[in-house]
Amino acid sequence: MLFNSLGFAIFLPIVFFLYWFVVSKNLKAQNTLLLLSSYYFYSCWDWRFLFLLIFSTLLDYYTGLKMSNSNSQKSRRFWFWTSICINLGFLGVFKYYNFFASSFAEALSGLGFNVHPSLINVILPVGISFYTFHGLSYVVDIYKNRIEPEKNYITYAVFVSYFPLLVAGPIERATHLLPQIKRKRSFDYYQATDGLRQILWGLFKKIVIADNCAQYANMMFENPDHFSGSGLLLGAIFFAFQIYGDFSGYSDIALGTSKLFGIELLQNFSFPYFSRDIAEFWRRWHISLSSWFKDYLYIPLGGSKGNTWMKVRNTFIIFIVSGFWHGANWTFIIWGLLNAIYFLPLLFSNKNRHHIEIVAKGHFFPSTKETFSILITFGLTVFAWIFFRAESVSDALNYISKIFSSSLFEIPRFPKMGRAKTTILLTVFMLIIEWLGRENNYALEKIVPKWKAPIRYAFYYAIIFCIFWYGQKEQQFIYFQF
Amino acid sequence: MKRFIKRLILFFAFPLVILLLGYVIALKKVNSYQPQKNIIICYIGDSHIQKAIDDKLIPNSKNFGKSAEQYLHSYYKIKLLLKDNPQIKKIYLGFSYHNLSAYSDEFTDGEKTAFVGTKYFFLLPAEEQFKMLKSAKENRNILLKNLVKELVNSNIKKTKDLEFIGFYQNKFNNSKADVKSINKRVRQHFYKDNKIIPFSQKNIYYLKKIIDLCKEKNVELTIINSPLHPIYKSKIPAKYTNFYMDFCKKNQLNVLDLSEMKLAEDCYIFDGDHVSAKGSEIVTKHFQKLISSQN
Repeated sequence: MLFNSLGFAIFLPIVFFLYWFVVSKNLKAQNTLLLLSSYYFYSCWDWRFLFLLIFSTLLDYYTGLKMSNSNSQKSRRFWFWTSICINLGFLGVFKYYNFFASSFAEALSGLGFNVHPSLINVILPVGISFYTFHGLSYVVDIYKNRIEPEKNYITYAVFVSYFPLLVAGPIERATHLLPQIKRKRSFDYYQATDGLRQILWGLFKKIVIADNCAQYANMMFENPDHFSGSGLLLGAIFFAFQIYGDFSGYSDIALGTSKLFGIELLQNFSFPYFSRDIAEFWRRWHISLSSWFKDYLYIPLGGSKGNTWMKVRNTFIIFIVSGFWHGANWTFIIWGLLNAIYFLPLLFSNKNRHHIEIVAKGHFFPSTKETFSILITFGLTVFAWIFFRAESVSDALNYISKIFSSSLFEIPRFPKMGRAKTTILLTVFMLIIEWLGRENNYALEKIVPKWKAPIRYAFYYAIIFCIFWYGQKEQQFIYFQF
Repeated sequence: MKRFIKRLILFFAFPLVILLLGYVIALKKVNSYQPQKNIIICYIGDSHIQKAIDDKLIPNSKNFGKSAEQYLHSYYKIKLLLKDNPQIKKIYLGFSYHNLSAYSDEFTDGEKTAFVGTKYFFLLPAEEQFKMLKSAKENRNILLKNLVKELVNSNIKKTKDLEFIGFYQNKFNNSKADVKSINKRVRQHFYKDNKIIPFSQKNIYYLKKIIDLCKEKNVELTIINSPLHPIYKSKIPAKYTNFYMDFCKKNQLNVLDLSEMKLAEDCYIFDGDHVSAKGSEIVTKHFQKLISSQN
């Protein structure tokens, strides 16, 4: 069930109605309803993988309790590593086994040995990377004595399987989400209307921006030989907005949906394309994953402490692992590697925490220097996205070589130019709104409620009209595959 | 909570009321359509008849053909035309063998409904409208969008310009049949996974209903097969040609078979399944001779 589907448009009001009208007085019943709805939501993709989700939940719930009840460090360590190995084992089998097996075979064939590894033919369970990371952070936090284990299975299961975040995050932390699940929730008008507003903006970004940009990005990436360098450059930019609209749109819908149930999720995006350097970009893009890697990988590795060599090593590890998390393909690893390379000058010059606040805070326009920095960062990001989008490294290199050809300075030409111009205009409109609302958690949060009612409602209807008018065939969210 | 629900209902009620109003107006407008009173011959069907018969060359006739029209749509179109127009005496209904193929169901119950069926939405009874809303699962957004487009068009356009009506159109001025395209079209029309596609029960059902309707209204119905390229015709599965012959015999249909007319290559468009503008001129003149000899 996709957030942008008719099924979800029916499912959400039903759950909302039952939640606030039927079981509103009983927290246990509310949580049970959330859990059952989440399992139903997940089973709409493939009910067989529901067993994997339940097993993974039970495993972490049980090992959490076992670690807490253990008297000896040895026993705690045993349960800790049992959970880590099984969780990563599932991820390894479903997501990475084929990649490692075929890469190993290719490496051996380079040495003259012909090996034919048996590959497994199984689809990747939706959201496995997300709910595994939920479980892992919970187990690590208990092991490190940061939190107490949750004794109620339903509460813990809602933490892992809560449907707004189940398939593509944000990757929550027990310290943030569990207390909200355990607390009695009452309906808050302002929170609910804010949630609807965020859902609306998320749908706009997904359906109007991402799905329309996808048409052109797909056209260019699938047939790069048919287009000029300038067309391919535009294709890469289209992909940059596709992935942003897709994933930040998804996150907005997830956060907005959760607000309807009185639960606040972690912010996942904070206007990343207005970043002035790559470090700022990574503090604003997929924030819940970046902070997860920071807390559970980067800091345990030593973080930015230690000598330069250590810092460089840790930077490369975190970016490569982050790339690999996205998928079992060399393209993602190179994408991670490129970001690590972009990061190095900031690390060496100790400027990686230079831009903490949003650009031009309190001002309407950015300075010339800021504009230049934003454009350079965006350019570098677009370049890295080419590897992320391409099917293989050779495809990415071919695409890049075709961009940097003499046709780079030609006027781009491709089918459906008229529609592309409309897509560009709509993207500019999105950027303007995002710029105006950049100091908030999401673009519409504070700017729209300030407007007078007629203007506000006209704006909402206009957004709904755009979603309806420019909507394409229902398209999967990119991050569902991760 | 009360305030939230109240505001939510009001928010959605506003556009819903407008849509409902538009729907009522569109229904009324479509049902008020009247052809010119001098029209006594009508050509109905899909792109084959639409591209083949130039009604300007034949007095007192009108081509109502429309690309991808199915017999479901034709039935309700004929019903509307015959409602208050006793002057209409003859109907030429276009036929091509693929009209019998379940491939056509895509346009009434499948994904292509989103692109084709919506033009006929306001012409259909409520039951068929509801079925259309349930079709095109993958293209539901496009279906809804096209329905709203149709609603707006039906409200602002003049009745005579409504989308479902259809007219003669052939823009293929420099074209000729291409064997590769012919083969592709034959595969698309009659084969799926290397097996012959079964018959479309829906099209056959509505073809029978058209026959009954014409009998009831005392209108002469003639089935007209537009020309087909010899390669295309030779590749139509025998199952289809036999069924067609039996069907016409059983229902005692008047048939005007132009499918074996000898035409030059440039009288067809690339798929060999439709005539070009040049072909249309020849076919219309030939057709004119045939009907005047019948009279």
